[in-house]
Amino acid sequence: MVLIQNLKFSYGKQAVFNNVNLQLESGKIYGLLGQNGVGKTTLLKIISGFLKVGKDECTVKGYSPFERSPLFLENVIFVPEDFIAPDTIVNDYAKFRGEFYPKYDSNKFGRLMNDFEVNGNYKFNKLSYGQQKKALIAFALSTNTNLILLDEPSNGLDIPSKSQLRKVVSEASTDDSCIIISTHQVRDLENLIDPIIILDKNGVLLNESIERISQKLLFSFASIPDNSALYNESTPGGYISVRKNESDMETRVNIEALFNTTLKNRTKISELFGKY
Amino acid sequence: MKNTFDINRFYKLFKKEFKERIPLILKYAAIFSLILVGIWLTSLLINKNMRVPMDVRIVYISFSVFLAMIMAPFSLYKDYNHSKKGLDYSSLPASVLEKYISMVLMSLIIMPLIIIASILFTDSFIALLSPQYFTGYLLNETFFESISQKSFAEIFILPSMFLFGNLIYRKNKVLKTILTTLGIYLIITIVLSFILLYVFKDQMAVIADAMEGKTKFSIDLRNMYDLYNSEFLAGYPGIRFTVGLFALLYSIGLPVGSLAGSYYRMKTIQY
Repeated sequence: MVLIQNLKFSYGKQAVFNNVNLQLESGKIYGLLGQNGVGKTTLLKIISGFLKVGKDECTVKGYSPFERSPLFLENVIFVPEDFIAPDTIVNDYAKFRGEFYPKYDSNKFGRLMNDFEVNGNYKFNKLSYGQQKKALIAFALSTNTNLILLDEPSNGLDIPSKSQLRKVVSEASTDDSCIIISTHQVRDLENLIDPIIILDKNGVLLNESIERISQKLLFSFASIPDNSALYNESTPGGYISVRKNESDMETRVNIEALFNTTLKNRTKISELFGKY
Repeated sequence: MKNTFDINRFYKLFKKEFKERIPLILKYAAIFSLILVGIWLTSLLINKNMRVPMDVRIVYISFSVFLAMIMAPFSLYKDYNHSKKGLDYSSLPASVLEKYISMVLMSLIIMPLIIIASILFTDSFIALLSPQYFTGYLLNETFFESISQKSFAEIFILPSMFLFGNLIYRKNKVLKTILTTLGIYLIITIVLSFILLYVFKDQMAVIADAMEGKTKFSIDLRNMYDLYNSEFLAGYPGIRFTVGLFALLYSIGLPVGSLAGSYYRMKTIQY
């Protein structure tokens, strides 16, 4: 679906990506993680065609995103983190834009708006930030595009909406679609995102399925830190430890601990999983 | 071809644009019409001897349309190059050419036409109510005769530059566009003046003597074609060619360049 090869990108003299390689496949919900400023939003914007890169450095189903051809655009939808609402009634917004997406389902939009408890008869600017975001997510998922890019989708959502978000995103995932979610709120999206991509300033640190991560790493909880572990994290009541999995046992992946482990053990993680 | 232009998709886009932007266009049309109503009320209530002849109203409508055309890109498409607000329109599955044509139509044709229609309707209504103050109807043959081919072409020069300015500049668009436009006019005038006064120095001295007492020689970009056709330049092909070249640059080069630049900018803009 998405092929990124030797991607280089910079804002003026500030390099963001230098020879990044990534392959994203259909039928998966990717979680894109990284510290502030490593280029998560930039990557999503490059894939969406908002930023210019070399012709073969990023392709989506064979299309060069920056050409912004209609046939490419009708297969991609991007939900930005900061959505500045237009002065339009939500239902009109969806109706007029939906016509451009061949697989747009207006019934699905109505159902999702209902699930999110947002009234589409109001103008965007009459809704709260969280409601605006839910309306936009509902529209994005109703377009049924093959590539859905969500930048921090759970920001600004209340607790019931976050679980609702997990449900609707999970339902939106099909064998033909690829969903990429950039997030800092890993706990909001745990049990949803798989595989996990971790970015840092040097590129992709990790791009693995949950299954492979649990084969390679062991996540445990104990009252004292494990000195042989790659990473120990103090939590109320004990320590979460992450170490190499040298047994056949598979444990539940704690994404937050995985993220911190990866950042603190770049070389070891690279040796364990290989380079990207 | 379907990727560059598709008539069905263009229709959908134009329909969407029209429906979303018509409230704003009507608001502007109402403002321009209300100004006319204000003039009428002033003559009716305050200065009962004041007449508003047709000539004055034609000047008003010309000024309003010109102002509307200049304002249109900034009011209808101000967010196109905004790093956040622009994402919505840019990601809409229509080609850049379709978005561009739609933008040009809405800014340079639809909005001015609706404003003209609104002013003409208001004027006719007032003229019908109180013909003693608003003498004659604007909507007559004189009005259409006043729209010559030349003025019709000239009216697009500045708005096309403003359309381009709206896409180039992200902040303080109006001010920067006005300053750039003034700068371009100044540069063209200075370069032409330099060529005429230094390159064709001797010939210009002869022309100045011939013109003395008859007319004043001035370089006005808006009247370059008149200068080109002037009898004083008949025997000076070099000067005539230069003046003609600058007349073309002003009346065709600037609008075509601005429109082509706007398209290129839309195609290459990053967010």
